[in-house]
Amino acid sequence: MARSPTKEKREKSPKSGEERKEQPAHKCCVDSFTAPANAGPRTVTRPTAGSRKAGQYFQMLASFKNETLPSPKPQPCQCTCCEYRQEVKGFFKLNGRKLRHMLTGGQSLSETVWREDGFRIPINGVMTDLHFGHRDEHELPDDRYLPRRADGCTYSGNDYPGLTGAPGAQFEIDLQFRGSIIDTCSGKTVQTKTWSLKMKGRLSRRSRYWS
Amino acid sequence: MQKNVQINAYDINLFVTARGKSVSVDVTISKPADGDAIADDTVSLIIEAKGGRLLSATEWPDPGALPETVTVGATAHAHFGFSNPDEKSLKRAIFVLRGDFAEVALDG
Repeated sequence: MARSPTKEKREKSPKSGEERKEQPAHKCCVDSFTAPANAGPRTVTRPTAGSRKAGQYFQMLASFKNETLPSPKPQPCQCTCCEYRQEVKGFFKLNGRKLRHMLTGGQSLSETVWREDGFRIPINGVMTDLHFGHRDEHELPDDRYLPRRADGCTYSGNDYPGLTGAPGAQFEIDLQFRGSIIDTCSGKTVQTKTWSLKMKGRLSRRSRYWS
Repeated sequence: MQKNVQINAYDINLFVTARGKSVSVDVTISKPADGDAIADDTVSLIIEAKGGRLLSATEWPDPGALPETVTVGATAHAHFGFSNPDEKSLKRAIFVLRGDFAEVALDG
């Protein structure tokens, strides 16, 4: 809902002809935000006898402030306003061929454009897009708000991006991640972190074959 | 062209490129990262051209060794090549995953 600015405010505002948007009743206040957190080493592992996985494990951790309501403050902090988002761009290559990694809505990973990290699964027979951090989507072990998804003040996500292929295959991973805490009450981004995962070489558990 | 189909909860995209006498198809099979692994499975693809001719395969993925890329979700990859000596228009594809199949129109 918008309200008309007062005459005084109109005179002070550089956009005097525009209506001023009413402030949301609550806002997101970040207590702490770490991404990547507890990152493991870049490794090549052996998921099965005939395959090797190159990648890196990390977590995304955040905690938010909650102020008792009613509050004398004009815009008290509420955890329900805070949500995590994760975007990704980059590429995967195996034996010189670029692989089309699928995200959501029929979109694939782009080398240059940030796209929200996610996947599609059927829920009750309907293909549904799921992403990190959306409180209104299904909870998964790798994507949790604690103690409760709807209003929890702690976010805990895990990710293990990587590439699995035949032992000895030439591979390259070049991924950039952008994790953000957004204020869903105002629609603004509160904090952003970016990090990357780069690995190249042969799929072998011996680290001398890749860097 | 990109065609989307589902088989037993797996979201499958077929990226079909017809160039002269050859047809290249990249198939992606998506699942959540904690879903049942598809990388060690076997898939197959049949392409039918108009007039009922089946295209001969020239490239196919190694059985039981599909590469898989992972961010929050995982995508298994299968690349197929076919020869299309008469450069016929494509009619349909039949993709087989774990004994179940889906038919996809390629002429629409």
